[in-house]
Amino acid sequence: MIEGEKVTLRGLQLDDAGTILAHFNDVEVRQYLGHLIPISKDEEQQWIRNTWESRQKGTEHVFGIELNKNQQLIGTCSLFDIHQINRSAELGIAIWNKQYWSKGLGQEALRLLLNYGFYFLNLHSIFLIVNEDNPRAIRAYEKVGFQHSAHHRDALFQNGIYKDTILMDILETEFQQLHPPTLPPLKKGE
Amino acid sequence: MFEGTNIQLRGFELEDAATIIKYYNDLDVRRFLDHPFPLSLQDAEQWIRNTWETSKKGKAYFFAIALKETNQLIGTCGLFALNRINRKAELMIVIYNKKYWGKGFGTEAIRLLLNYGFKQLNLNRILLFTHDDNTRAQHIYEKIGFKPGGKRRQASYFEGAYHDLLLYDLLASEFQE
Repeated sequence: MIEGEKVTLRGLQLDDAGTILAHFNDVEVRQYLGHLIPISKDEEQQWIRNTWESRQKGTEHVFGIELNKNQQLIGTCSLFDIHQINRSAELGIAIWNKQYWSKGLGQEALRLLLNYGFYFLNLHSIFLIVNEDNPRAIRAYEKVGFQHSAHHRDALFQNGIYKDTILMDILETEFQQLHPPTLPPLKKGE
Repeated sequence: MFEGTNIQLRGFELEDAATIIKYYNDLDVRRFLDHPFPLSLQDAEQWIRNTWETSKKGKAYFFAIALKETNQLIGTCGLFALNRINRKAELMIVIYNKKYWGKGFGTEAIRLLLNYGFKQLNLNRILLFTHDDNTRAQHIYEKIGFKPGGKRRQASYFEGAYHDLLLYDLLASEFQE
């Protein structure tokens, strides 16, 4: 459990599948995430099982994003394609409950996830790919410290046209400057 | 079999494994490819079998680069990470016999491979990542028409330091045979 002020990152459980599905098949949500292929509940549960496997292997760490005020699951985020020698990983995040868009919750989840990646997994660089036509996401990534590093032309075919994507990345030294590691105060008796 | 002026792209035979490991364990060759780890004969044979599987599934297409005259194996090239919906793939190439560096054979192989990707596989975009230190390769990619698209900063660690990975891409509409 990684707790922030408004959201907490936690492991996914099988009964999250229903919540995820209710939002994930929404075309407006999915357009930024990948291809518009409807997914089923069994498929989603299989995916959740896979997140447990890949975490054990150390290749991927997937979290549910939960609202602190009511324990509602509003999205997922992950570090994947973790490379042990390069100490690099790709980041993905989706707040798929649209009701909670534009409230800074994604930003807080991103900060928690980067904190986890750099200070717990000891990564050196983290990158992400974002649709060029998703300015809301790009702004959030910039605010937590990502910078534009590359541009993929015609990278994604959606709704009849090819779209460009942007590669953004952040280095451990850059994150350390923005968010130095802080140790929680020792409790008495520890 | 795709034939150029000096070289041809052909499928791998198991007996190519011996040639592959002879050159592939050379650090000059390996440094820009992957993390150096001594490769065994059986490793290379298994890799060759995998190339047959992945091309059957349409996930990746790897070719042996051989001299046209003698059929001698001098390198490997391939298209991998194929995405059918986005019609894109990633390109890799290595001339692992150093005797044949600087003779334009790599350029010829890339042109044949691009032709295959765009004209046979109907791809829209072919991309690649190369190490920041590998200026010879960058020069070749630019000469062929690849456009620099930026980089992944410090994304690769080798020989004691972090290096940038430079992105290049080429669209079907830009490809001149």
